[in-house]
Amino acid sequence: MNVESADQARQDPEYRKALVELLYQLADDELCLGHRDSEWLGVAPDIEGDVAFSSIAQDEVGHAVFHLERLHELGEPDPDFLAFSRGPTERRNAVLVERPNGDWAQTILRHFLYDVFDDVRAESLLASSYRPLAQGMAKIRREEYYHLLHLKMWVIRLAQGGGEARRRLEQALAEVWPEVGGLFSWGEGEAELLRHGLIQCRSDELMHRWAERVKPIFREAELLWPGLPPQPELQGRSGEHTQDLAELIRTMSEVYSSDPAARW
Amino acid sequence: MDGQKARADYDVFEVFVQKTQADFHVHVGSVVAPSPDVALMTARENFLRREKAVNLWIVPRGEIHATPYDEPDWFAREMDRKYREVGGYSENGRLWKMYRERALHLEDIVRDLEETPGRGEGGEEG
Repeated sequence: MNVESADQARQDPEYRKALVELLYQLADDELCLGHRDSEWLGVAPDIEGDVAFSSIAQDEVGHAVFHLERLHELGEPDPDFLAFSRGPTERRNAVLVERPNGDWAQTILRHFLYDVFDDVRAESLLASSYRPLAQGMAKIRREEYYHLLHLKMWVIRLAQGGGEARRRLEQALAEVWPEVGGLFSWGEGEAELLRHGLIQCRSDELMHRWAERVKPIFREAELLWPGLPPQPELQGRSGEHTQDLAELIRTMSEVYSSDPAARW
Repeated sequence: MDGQKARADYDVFEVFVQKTQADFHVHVGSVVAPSPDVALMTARENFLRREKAVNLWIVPRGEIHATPYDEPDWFAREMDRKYREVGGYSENGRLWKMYRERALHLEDIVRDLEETPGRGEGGEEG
């Protein structure tokens, strides 16, 4: 059965609980990656790429804001509080996106692998029983189209560039791959999410759909497919995170922490 | 050294934005990029972060052929060229509009006929 509004969702506490859990996953992935992207401001390889990447960063944070606003409608604290004042154990992002950027090749590869995942996940949410989410995902997906084009172009260029570019990309693949698997988890409440029709697709199915999209691009880039990503050590969707996330939050919330009412 | 060589391979691409299908592509600036596909990607974010568009062109600056700035006679207009100006046409537009508006009001035409001496009386003087 479809749920058309936040008010309707709040009438069913079990439904609301599952939905809130899902929205935190979506918001926290986008917020972490958006913040990491923004760290390239002023230091990307060239000025044009710098502006483009910063714009992508703003898009990701914008998508996080969408999800945080949906949470606020459901009775959670206001979006600024949720973004800046929750501790690491309350965050539901995959560990992959909280990691520092590394070099440009690692930034590009992680972002590309995430963006394909994000698109597959968004596609699966188009039929979500929570209609405000499904409608938002349709819009977000249109914005992500350009991100995918941009990141795919970079992966292919680095791979085909040979020399240092290719060496760094292969190194990035080895470093990133062990944590990619954490993206696909729907968390401990997967069964509940399925039961309420909030999601339509299990996490293993999500990973297979993702792999079918990534493999052809690896072939084009002549990158060796390492096999499906393994289960990661830390379950970000259950609040297990690294020190990197604590530092990310500290940096991101520096202004907010010194004066929560500050306008900037 | 590698970095310097890579930088030397960058080209300047001029960027043209078409805002709607009915508009011309308008030059908005340029980007520096190592290839046309990268130029398209970065032009999109450098010039269309806030504005809408339906199409982008990027053109390698080297492919643009231009007139020389130091030969002003290229654009010389010394003699009277009033005969080439088309001011009369815009006046035509106003006149046509006026006539069309008048023609549309049937009552006005009838009144005009009635108020004109010698009209509508069977043409006695004819």
